[in-house]
Amino acid sequence: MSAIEIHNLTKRYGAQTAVDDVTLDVDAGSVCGLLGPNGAGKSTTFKCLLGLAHATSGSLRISGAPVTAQTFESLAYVPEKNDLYCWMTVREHLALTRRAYRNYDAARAAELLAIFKIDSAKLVKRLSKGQQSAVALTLAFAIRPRVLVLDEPSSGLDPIFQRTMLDLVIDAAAGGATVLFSSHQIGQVERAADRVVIMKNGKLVLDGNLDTLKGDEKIIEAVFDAEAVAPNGLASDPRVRRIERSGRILRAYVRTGSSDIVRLLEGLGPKAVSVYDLSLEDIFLGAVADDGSKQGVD
Amino acid sequence: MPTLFSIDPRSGVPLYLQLIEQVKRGVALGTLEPGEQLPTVKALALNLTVNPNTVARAYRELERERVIETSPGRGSFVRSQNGVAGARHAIEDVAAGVLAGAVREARSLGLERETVRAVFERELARWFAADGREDT
Amino acid sequence: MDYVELLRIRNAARIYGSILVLLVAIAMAAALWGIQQGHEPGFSSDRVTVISISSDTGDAKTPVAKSISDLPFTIPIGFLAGIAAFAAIIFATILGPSMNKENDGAGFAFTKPVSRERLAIRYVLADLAAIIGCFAFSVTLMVAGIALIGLFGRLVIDPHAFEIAACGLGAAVMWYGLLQAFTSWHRLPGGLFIGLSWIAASVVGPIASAIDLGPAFHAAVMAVDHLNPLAYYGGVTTSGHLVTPRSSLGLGSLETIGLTWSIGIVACAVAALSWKRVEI
Repeated sequence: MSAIEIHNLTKRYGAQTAVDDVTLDVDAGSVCGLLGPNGAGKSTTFKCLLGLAHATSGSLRISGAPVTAQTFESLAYVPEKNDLYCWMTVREHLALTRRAYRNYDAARAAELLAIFKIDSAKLVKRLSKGQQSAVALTLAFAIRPRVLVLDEPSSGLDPIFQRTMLDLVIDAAAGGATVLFSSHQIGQVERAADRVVIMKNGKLVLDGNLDTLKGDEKIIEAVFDAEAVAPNGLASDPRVRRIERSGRILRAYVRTGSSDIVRLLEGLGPKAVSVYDLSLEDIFLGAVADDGSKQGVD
Repeated sequence: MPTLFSIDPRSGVPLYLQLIEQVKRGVALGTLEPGEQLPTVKALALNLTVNPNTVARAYRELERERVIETSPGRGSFVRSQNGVAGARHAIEDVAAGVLAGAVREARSLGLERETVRAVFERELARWFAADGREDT
Repeated sequence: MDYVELLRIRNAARIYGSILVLLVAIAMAAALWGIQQGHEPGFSSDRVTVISISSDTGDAKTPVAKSISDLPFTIPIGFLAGIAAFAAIIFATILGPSMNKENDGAGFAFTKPVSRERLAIRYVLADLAAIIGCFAFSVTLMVAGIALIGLFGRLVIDPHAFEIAACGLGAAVMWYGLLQAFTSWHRLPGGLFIGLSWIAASVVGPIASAIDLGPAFHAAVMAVDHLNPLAYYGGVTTSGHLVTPRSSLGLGSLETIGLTWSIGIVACAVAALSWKRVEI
């Protein structure tokens, strides 16, 4: 059973479609990183999942059941825009959380506040943005959640605490928690996530295990003696993302099956064929640059 | 605390493969001794700041390749049964991977087989004649 | 999670309570001065006017009582209740948009292990308790003040005291409910609606009497006035020994009590239901 099941989620605001038929299942114990340009629909997806917005269509389940108040006993949500009460103190937020949750761990909360160097007597509005983010994270992890939904958890967080935040995510995942987080910091996703999902314009454009993705996504470069020629049908091969030609160089951005494509290109008698690995950033940029259609050769 | 292994999350090489190679390298060089205990999945994940499933996958693969063995409740340990032979196997594994990559790269650059062999012989002479060693 | 609302109430009550204490202190000081000047103890309309103007939120004067210069020397509790009711009404409007307050931001309250229905009920109960508490506090405060200037023996419990309390609190609950109903489903600032509601409530009555556009217009204004809490309870009337609640709608006390409390509770229910559907 997946910990998080989002099936065919569509959300429209009037004429605008913010999320377009998105399906995403996150296994228990997995850390799923959601990447995408601004306006891709990441936050909206989270809001629909948590009942903060009403899905136009689709089904959403957490731990196998529709989301109710009960679900939040073991689910922590940290939105991008901090949602704390600025007129209350940090301590009052802790008290609030203690009263609301059964599994609240006061020692853990105190420990985290100490790590983040936050004075619990302070009013939230007197804290810096980074400190407010730290408090929000503290409250989230102090309830020992089984599921964590984090929307840009590092935005606004002081840079020295970015690693701390990752450690918290990894620690939770090691304990079996499921984490779904969106981030603009691809490096963070590269470290903490085992599953990567990329959204663009409300749609899912890429979804896979990170290690597998890195193993599959390649750039194959062939250098020819004369003007580079692409084999017929290569551009429309579903395994090929797109093809670039520049003088004597032909580059194929490949989703999978790189060894087959290499053999295909070698059949054309090039001077040299090389295979290059892609970082997640490369994969991401490639995925969001695609306009869906294969950019053919000229 | 310094990281126990050197891995690069930004590399295009999957992290679990990097970790597998790092462990094999440790065994080959002797920095990981036979019978030595490896950190728990959780501890290593936190130490390297990487996903625990990635570490777990690497451990599973290392166990499958009989480089390490895992006892439930006790932890993961470098295999001690094979002793010297096991270390040699790990070394050759690592070296084979490096050499294979070099040959593949040379070929993809368009070098002829004989050219590659000539370059290889030259490098052999350079690196092995210098310290007079015939084997590792 | 109603802890948040309890804290809000506490913070509001501290400020509001301090203001009430201050007002009563001023009133009693003025009374003491008046007694020392040799005036007959009693109620002068001037002193009452001072109290009524300054207890408003800077709005137009809300009539508390007609001139009662000929009151015999007893202090009916009902009269105090009449004043306390206004304190409660003001407090009720302050607390009114409590559901609305959660709609701003990222919905902290909506991602906690308590359903929105239950949260709404808890908020409303806390607010209503606070409103009633405000009323009790105001009465107690005035009694204490009166005792401090040595007039405790003059207090009497008049027959309509509880009626006045029920009508006044009814107006408070009704206003509170209407504010909830008008604000729970959006994220515009609640304070805006508090202000608008005060303007509307104060303006309808005078308009009705000032403008004469014929019986149809008058009937329409009267109809709209049925949504105006101040039309159900506009203070108290004193004649001779008697203090009674006053309603510009010409309703009896029983109807007033029944209608105001019902409208208030129903409005809260409507507010809660539409709060459930709010999207952040």
